[in-house]
Amino acid sequence: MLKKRIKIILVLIYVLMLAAPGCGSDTQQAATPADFYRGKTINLVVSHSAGSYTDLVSRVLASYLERDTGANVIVTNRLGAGGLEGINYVYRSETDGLTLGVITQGKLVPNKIMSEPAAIYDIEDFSYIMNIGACLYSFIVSPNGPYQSVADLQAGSELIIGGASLSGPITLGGMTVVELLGLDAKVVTGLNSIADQALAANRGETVGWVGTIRSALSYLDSGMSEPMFVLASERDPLVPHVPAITELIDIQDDDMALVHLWETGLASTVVFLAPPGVPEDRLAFLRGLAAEWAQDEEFREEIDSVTGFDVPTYVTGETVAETMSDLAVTLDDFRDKFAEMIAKYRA
Amino acid sequence: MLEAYASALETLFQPINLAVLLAAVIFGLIVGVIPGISGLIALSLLLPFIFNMPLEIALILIIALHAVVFTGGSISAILLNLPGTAPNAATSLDGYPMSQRGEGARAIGASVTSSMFGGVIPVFFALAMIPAIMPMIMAFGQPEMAALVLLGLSFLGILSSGSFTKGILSGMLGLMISFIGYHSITGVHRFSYGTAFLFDGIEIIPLVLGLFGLSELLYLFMKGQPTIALKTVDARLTDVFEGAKDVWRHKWLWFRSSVIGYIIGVIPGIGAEVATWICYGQAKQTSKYPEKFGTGVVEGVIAPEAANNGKEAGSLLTTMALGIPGSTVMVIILAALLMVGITPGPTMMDEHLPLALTLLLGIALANIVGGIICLFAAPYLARIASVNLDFISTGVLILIFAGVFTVTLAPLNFLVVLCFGLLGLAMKLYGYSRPALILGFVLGASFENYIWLSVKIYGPLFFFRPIPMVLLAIIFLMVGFPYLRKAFPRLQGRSMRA
Amino acid sequence: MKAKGRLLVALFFLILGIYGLIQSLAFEYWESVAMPLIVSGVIIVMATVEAGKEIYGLGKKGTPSADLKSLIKITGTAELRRFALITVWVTAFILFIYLFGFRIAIPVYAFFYLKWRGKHLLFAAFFALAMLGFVYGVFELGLKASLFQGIVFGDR
Repeated sequence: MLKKRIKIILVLIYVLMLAAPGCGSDTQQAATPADFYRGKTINLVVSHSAGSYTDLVSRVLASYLERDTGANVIVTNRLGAGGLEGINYVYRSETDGLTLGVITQGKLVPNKIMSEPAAIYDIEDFSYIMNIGACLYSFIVSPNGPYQSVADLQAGSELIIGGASLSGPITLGGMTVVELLGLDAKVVTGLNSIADQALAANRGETVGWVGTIRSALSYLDSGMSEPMFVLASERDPLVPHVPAITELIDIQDDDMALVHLWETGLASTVVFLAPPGVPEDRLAFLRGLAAEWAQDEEFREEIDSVTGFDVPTYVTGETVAETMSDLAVTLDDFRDKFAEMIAKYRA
Repeated sequence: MLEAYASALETLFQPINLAVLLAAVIFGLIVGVIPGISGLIALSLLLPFIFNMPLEIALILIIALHAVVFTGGSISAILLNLPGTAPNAATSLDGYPMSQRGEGARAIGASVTSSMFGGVIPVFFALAMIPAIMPMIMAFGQPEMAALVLLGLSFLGILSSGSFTKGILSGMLGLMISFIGYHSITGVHRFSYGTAFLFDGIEIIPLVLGLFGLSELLYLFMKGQPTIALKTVDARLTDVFEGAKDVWRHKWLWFRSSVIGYIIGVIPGIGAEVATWICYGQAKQTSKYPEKFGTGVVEGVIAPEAANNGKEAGSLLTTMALGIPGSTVMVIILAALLMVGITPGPTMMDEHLPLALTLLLGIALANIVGGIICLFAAPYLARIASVNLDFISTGVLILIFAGVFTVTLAPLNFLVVLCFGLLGLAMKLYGYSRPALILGFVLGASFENYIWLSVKIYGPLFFFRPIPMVLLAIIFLMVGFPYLRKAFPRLQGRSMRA
Repeated sequence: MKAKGRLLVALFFLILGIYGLIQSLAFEYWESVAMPLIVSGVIIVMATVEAGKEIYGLGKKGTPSADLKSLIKITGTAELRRFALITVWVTAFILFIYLFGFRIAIPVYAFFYLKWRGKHLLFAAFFALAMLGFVYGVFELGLKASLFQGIVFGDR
């Protein structure tokens, strides 16, 4: 009996010893944010798969974070639910500033516009640190297809434009193009990868699709695809020879808001952010670091090298926060507009 | 061309590159053995290093690691009924019963030899296929893909052993499970109640590990078996080589499976699981004793393993020759090439042919090195089947859940493993086909997608096109083959050595 | 007993099919309804056939499973009891992981399970520690994967 009790006590002691590192908390407040981060572990959550553009950018960020905070940075890919899992995870995380996120705006905003029930966040609540490389959307076609200009599209009938998931930017972008150009077209959903889109366009199954130059880079370089116009009011620096849609048609005032949405809130941008409620001083510290990196030639070169092209823009966290706050107010209007377009243009 | 081959071989056999290849092979084998952990997980943690390495070394590392993951996965599938990767589930159907009979070493020998050459031979006709790849891919539009996936689904009947109704029921259950989640065509959340956890549906790793791994542990415990094997295992190298000889004895099956895997790999949009199950199904269909499949016949090991590695060679070719990645690991290879200014596609095959050949030959060499390591380790590994089940089951259970969490990062998947473990046990006890469920699951969502795309783009008569009609004819032949064989005895295959 | 089990499984499929049918009809677009509806219908029909076979004794006796059919003989309550026991162990393990994380659940489960199975104290303790070390080494150190720490000690 005594032996048995001793055994049980030994096991309990062992279990408590294992648990001890997980218990407890900092009893001393760090003097400055820099002191706070030194020696800690930062969990950098990425909402895309390893090897993707967002992931590669996050790894550059991780190395600079480690260098400038003295923390150990672990990159975790949480890509379930189309990236929503990563976004939700960051949103729900502790507000101590030790969980940060690298996500794409192209996932963050459309989910809220389309009232995705699994999206538990509000876009204006996040603590934004920096945006990297806004990538505009273009209408991309096959160079061998019969539709090489806006006039060709407008002259066509019963056209099919490629879409991916119904509430995703590719589909919504396709519907926006149909609406703005007044096309006799439908958007077919289910072409879930860029490869599917490019191949479908080359086979003549679709006339083209709306996507970012960055995502279609290998197809553009190999000559399988080419952009017809940019869904914005200004040209994309990545393809300066490609006209903006506003250069090709007259856009009504009502529709300009839609174009403006595509070049701001819906632009495919890598967003570096923290959960809501992170202490102001820590957020300011991280924003300060980010601003320094954006000016650092070496950082910019590293980002350019992992992405394969020159990333033109870095936007401060304060500006992003302001943009998101403004956008949050207009979400309902865009929701109604997109719902209307889905009803009209879904194949 | 010969110069390009010579240059590629010279690059590959440089000491540093060979060392990297060897290290990657060992790491890949270990990763493959651990249940649920795929090459992608291992590569993702190597990413920070990969992109700072010289290009050739980085690519050799990626390709060698990925080439042998399925080989490693087959070992745990055979010895423990625990597929290391989802495509290895087909190997466990006959590999595990062989292990239980004390023939684990022979099963590993057959599996490793089959995958070794399954990944080697296609490399040599890969280059010859380049001019044909693009026309082939362009010919496979939505209706053709729908017909191809339907061909895969037609194996539901073949994979069910015993009752036909139970086989179809199992497959239909797999289809239903595949419908869970966000439906991209319509934006509707089906059977997921708007939760983020079920947004993408049930993940394949917890499903497979539960259905095969956990269910087997539960079954063995119920039976009161002291070890996995029913007799003491005294495996020797001769047993391993007997398995290797089995591949030669069934060389046409091996070749057929390798080619099927390769072709499926070339066509983007079809997963590795499909290749292995189709090849398992055609092995059963063409065997003289199809009713023995699932009880431990070596053909049931040879076919899926040849397909696994053949598929990867095909997938790499499409990635390099067309810039179309066939899997998430290929996305990493694509990213690595783009980063250094090499655009995969026809120009890569012209301007960087030696590099492309280095990668293709790298797959072949990695398979050979991995195969040799496994062949010599097999006799020792096979003795796991004689280890006391209490230790095995404890270790395996822990690895199952650790693996599932590492891959999915969602603790709710523990419940998924448990539920499918209980379901798998019930299916095993009462004669329902787990392979049919898996096949329905992996094909269901993509079948539905291709059908709707075909209807919307081509109209409801989309099947009346040349390739779909040919594939439909093949389906009728496959389904009708058993009846034809009864009517025409000369169609019986070679005698089967079980 | 086996016939009862087969009937239960058939009824399980039938219930699933009916659930699928009812749920499908509530989906918004016909494209999202069609396939689940058809598949549910097939399940209902096939499950009814199977259940009918069991009820009216039309099915083959001793239906073989795919694996080692000659060895399957489920008789009496002994196997049922073992099934219940192992299910409880596995469920407890899952609960432990969820509450306390892998670092605690692994050695505790391994130790107590092996002790229950009659293994020597030192052997059980050694194996428990070895498993913890192996998992920690492979997953946390090798794969840089952060294993679940449990809701009590920090993870969600």
